[in-house]
Amino acid sequence: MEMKSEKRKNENKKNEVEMLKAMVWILELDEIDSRLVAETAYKIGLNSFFKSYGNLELQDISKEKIRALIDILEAFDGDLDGIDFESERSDA
Amino acid sequence: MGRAINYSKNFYKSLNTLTGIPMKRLEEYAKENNPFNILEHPSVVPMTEKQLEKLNYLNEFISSYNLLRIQEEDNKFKFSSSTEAGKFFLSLLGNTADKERFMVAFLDNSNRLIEVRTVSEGSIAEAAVYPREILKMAIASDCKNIMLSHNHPGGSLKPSAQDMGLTQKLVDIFHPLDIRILDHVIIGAGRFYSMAENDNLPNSVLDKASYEPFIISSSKTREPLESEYCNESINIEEEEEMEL
Repeated sequence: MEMKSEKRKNENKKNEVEMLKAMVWILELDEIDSRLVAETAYKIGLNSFFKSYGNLELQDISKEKIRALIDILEAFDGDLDGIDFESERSDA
Repeated sequence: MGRAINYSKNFYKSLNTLTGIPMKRLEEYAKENNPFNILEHPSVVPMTEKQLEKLNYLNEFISSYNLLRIQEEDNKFKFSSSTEAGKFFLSLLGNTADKERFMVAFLDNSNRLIEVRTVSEGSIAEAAVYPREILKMAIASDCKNIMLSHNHPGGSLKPSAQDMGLTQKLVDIFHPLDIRILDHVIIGAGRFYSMAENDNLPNSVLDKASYEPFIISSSKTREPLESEYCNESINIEEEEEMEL
């Protein structure tokens, strides 16, 4: 049982590394910020990284891009389910 | 409805920030269509090859992230030991060498991370900490346990008298509320020191709760105890020799 969970953890970690590479590519940060983002997210996990990136010594533009990514992730997490885009359009 | 408008505007703006697709084009499309289509069916909006590539990567990332998040729902970052806490804060504070920064991690009853906040930033030698602010954050996060951490830009791992005083002060505030301070981790020169691991962590109330701001200073370190050890088997006395 423990071995299975260990295996799953390793697989998740491997997926997370792939995702980190994709994230760094999407964000297009400068070299220093890219390294800091990748290292920190690898050490503490993506979820924890998204909760704590604001505390890192990153340029404002880097933080803005990470925030943008979180906004999109949140939008696809169902948070926009309750939003009535039709009414929103008619309001505008 | 106001929130909805702001939220979807955020969505377009975020898409614009990450892909470079002009805001005007995104808004134009969203006037008559569901904005999610832009990610799910990129061809609905004219865009350059690079923008399309970005959008495709973003799509893949979202799918992978949601999958990973579900798989890891029971596997959130957990502070299972002082070493874990040390590594966690080292990741966040290890690169801060130009100022003192005080951070607090708010944890649930299984010591899983709810959120981590920077509660104070000071100069290279000291920072002012406002206990009332920490209390407000703790209540808002509905935490059960708390981890404290700050860095010493000078690199010393020795807790100062103020570090010890502040920790006691926060125990005085949180103990009656049944919120435990689990550790206070000091970060310096790429290493960490755990008060809990070194039996320096106060665990009972000494005084009535006081909410006056508190200055922590890395320049006024207290005398080390003989039995105290730092991470990576570095003894404070050895560290002093190294400093000499």
